[in-house]
Amino acid sequence: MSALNTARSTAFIRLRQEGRTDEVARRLVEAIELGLFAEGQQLPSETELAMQLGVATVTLREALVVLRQRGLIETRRGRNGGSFVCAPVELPEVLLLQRLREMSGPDLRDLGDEQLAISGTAARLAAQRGSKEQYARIAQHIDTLKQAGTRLGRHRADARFHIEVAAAAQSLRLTHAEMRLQSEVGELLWLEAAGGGDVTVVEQEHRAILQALVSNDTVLAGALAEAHVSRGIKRLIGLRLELLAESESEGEAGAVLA
Amino acid sequence: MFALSENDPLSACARQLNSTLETIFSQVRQLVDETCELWERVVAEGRQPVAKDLALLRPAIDRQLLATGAFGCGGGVILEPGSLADREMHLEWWYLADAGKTLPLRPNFDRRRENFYDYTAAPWFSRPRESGTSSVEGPYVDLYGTNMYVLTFTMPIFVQGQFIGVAGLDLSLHNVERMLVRSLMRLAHEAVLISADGRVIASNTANWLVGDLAPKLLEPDNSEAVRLVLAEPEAGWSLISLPGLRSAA
Repeated sequence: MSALNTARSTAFIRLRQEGRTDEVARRLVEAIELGLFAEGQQLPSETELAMQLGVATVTLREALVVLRQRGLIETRRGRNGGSFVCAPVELPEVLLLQRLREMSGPDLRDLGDEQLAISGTAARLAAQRGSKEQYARIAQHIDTLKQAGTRLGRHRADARFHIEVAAAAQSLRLTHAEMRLQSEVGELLWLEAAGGGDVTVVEQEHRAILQALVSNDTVLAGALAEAHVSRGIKRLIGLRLELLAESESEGEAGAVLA
Repeated sequence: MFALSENDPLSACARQLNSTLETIFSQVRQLVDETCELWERVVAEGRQPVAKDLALLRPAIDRQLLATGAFGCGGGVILEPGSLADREMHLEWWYLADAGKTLPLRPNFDRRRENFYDYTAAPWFSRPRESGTSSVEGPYVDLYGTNMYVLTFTMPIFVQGQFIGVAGLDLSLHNVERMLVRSLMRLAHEAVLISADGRVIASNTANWLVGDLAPKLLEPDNSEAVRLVLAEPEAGWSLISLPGLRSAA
């Protein structure tokens, strides 16, 4: 085997294993998780939804099966039938912890890197391009976060804060990237074990970012947003290590008993 | 501001931009007229309009969205709360999907839900309502409606002196920028089209980016630039010609 062959085989980052159906399902899950579709709301008809998303009806149907399996929607038959958004179910903390444990350290760090790039840039641009109305809406999301009593409520208000900042940056791409990231990592941050029981720190960080946005301080807004994202990811990396340590010692205890 | 001759390239460019704006506003005005007619017809029957009556506007809305050379990516009417007999809040709004079809926008008007769509707070609704005149909002990322980067043109609808709502068109900046830049490219100098709040709508130079805020260019004592307020005053748009040459950028 020549060096050339080795080089060639590593020249490409492997493509994400995501088909059309997965992508459609992911976007619908994002919309439901972030509360863009409310509980009990009827989804548009299959034809309409397929058109909205720009995919074939067959693909959409497959995606809806995924959503049904995950308990996000239910389909009723009959004259007033259709697909309806189910009441949001907070996943048990145990399940989310398991999800976190299954992520690798480098994966988590990389997720943080991406979020740093997106949220940092969004904040910088929002300080430069945002309008008063947008800043007012961002402030509302901070108030909602302060009052939210559940993990889901906190996750949504937090996600909306970040998405609204990206929208204030006037960038569709940053907005979509932020939606995807919030749906991917947002809920983990509000785990009790990750310190999600206390909103005050995050609330203060959000307020500081907003303050920088309002004063059009691009550098400060970017730096604060990056620090905010870093702290969040650091909490998750720390928690994951704790979980690993726990299962190690359990494993050892098991080994001793055996 | 300078007096410019009719044949000045800047005046010619402004004229072209004005006619683009006029075309858009005239499309919105057609929706206003259709709505007024419909409303008066229903009132003449001795009843207050209901949501179902407004569904009759769909062909008119489709015409604005599907006609060749149409600019809109969404359009319709949005009602003043309490105007309809059967709904507190309502909109008859359609947007362009793939394959030349239109789809209705059906936001959530249930106040108890967190995705409650309170359009009365949106500037494209509140401004025409308060001023009684047309308004152009944006460009902005429409998070709560169609998830696109748009300009929103709205006009108030008055029936017998009473405000019943607004008619409007959303224009995807992706489409409209092309057309605006074509006008700007006729100028030798760097030029930008700026909204009332100082946001760049289109520019013929890479030195100014769409969506950037450039309020300094609107300051009256900015002696470097030539500013032309477009004749459609309600749009609040200004054409700014800068000292630099476009090719030197």
